[in-house]
Amino acid sequence: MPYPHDALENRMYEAVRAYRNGNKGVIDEVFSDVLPFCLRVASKTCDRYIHEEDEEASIAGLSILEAFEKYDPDRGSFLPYLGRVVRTRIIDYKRREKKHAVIPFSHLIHAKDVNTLVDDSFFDDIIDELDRKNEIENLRIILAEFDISFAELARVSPAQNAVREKAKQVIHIISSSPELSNQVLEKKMLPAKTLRDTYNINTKLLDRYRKYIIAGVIIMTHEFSSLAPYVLPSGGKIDGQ
Amino acid sequence: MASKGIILEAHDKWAIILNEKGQYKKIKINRPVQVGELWNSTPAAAGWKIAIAAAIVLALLTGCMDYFSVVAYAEMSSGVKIGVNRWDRVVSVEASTPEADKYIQEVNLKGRKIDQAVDKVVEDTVSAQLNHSDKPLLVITSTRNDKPERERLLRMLNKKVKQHSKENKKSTTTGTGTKTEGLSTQGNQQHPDAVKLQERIREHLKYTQAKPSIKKNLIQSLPASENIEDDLEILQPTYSNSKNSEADQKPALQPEDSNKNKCTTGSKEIKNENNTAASKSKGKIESTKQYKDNQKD
Repeated sequence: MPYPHDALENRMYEAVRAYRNGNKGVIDEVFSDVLPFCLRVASKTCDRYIHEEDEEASIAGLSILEAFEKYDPDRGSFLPYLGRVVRTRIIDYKRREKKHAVIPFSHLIHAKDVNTLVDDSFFDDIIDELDRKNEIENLRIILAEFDISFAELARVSPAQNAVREKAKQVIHIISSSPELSNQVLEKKMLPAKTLRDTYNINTKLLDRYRKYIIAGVIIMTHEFSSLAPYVLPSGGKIDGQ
Repeated sequence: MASKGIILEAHDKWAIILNEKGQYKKIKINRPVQVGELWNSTPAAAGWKIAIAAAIVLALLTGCMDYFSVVAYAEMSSGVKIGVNRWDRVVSVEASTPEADKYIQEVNLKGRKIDQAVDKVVEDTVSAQLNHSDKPLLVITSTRNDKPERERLLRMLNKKVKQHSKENKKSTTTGTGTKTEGLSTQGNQQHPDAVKLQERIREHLKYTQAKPSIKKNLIQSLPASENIEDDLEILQPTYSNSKNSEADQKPALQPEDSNKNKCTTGSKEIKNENNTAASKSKGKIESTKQYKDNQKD
């Protein structure tokens, strides 16, 4: 299971320490955890999607070893340093490629991207993307248990703003009540009677947008922080924020 | 407005996003995207909207330009020159005399239909000139070489002008075919043979036993007579009760050789024979010439 940003940063810090202390095999343990980050950096640098079988993916993998060798904790966090190493190696590779004869134009990166230095926010954005990707992947797995897919959500999603706001209100009501949210997660059904009698919610709204409401409850109860702001009612905030 | 959101599911040409309004949407994509990536709608989508908006603006501009484009001028002897568009609406008004200039500043003719504008101008300014001016009352000039258009305007305006010139026995409208050359003054004078033919027709109508309705139509088709009382006399009913009367059927004019002369059986046939797109006076001139030739034979 991929690690969240802070957890990954801590894990990599510990791994570097272990590597410095002689445990060379720790790279194999963390390689699969940190590779998605390196591939995303390579993808942003080349401005195209990088597959694991691409040459750039191999260069990104080799950059991990180099980063482990040369990282100095006094210079800052490990992940931004690793990102810079990956980016530098990719750029060097592209420059060497340019000197050769036939090169497809689609493989060449823009001169502006090659020569532009990037700051840590470039890598922070990539790390945030990976965090979101992790959450979305977890959400997809949970929704599958409810027999709900993203494509289906796109079909049943309320198109009108007013209706969508009402549905978000229902999501907020359910997720704010542990009793109601447990009922939804365990029975995989909406507490229609309680919502109708206590909160005067229209049952037609519940029937028509049941899957949309359930997906919103899952996002809120599992604290998917990247997605929660999108399902809150307008002007609402989740607890603790 | 840009659509922002998070990529939930990515494929080659489409993706599913959760947008900032909380709506799950399926969108088309023109570049590879990855799950978790933040999404902004591409400029290409806005480009279509801009193209459509530009097309609408261009169509409106073209329509406006066409509306204000003058296709024909109607110049009246009072000095007022009216420019009309293809929808017969007045879009320009000019004056060639100080009096006309003063008049057009007081009266707003723009936007009116040409017949209303001409009617107004004739009523206000030209009536007094009918008996004095030798110039044509109204001249139509087209900016393009469009004879049917000029003739259509002439026919339409002729009725209006005639209402104000019942007492004037001259034809008062004409048209020209060029943009830059001057006005024609031939239209208000008839060919002498045409005048003679009209007099013979009137003389014939006085004594014929034709139905009053037929006589009325014939009289109306002729230019206004110098002596209106003759026309009134012609219109007195002289129709007999017998429908099978020999007098009704017997044609008044019978040349000796009917094969040579096409204009043999009265003014009705003359009218029918010469029913072409050309002006009536021209047709009558041709029939007159032919009649004269037959007479010589």
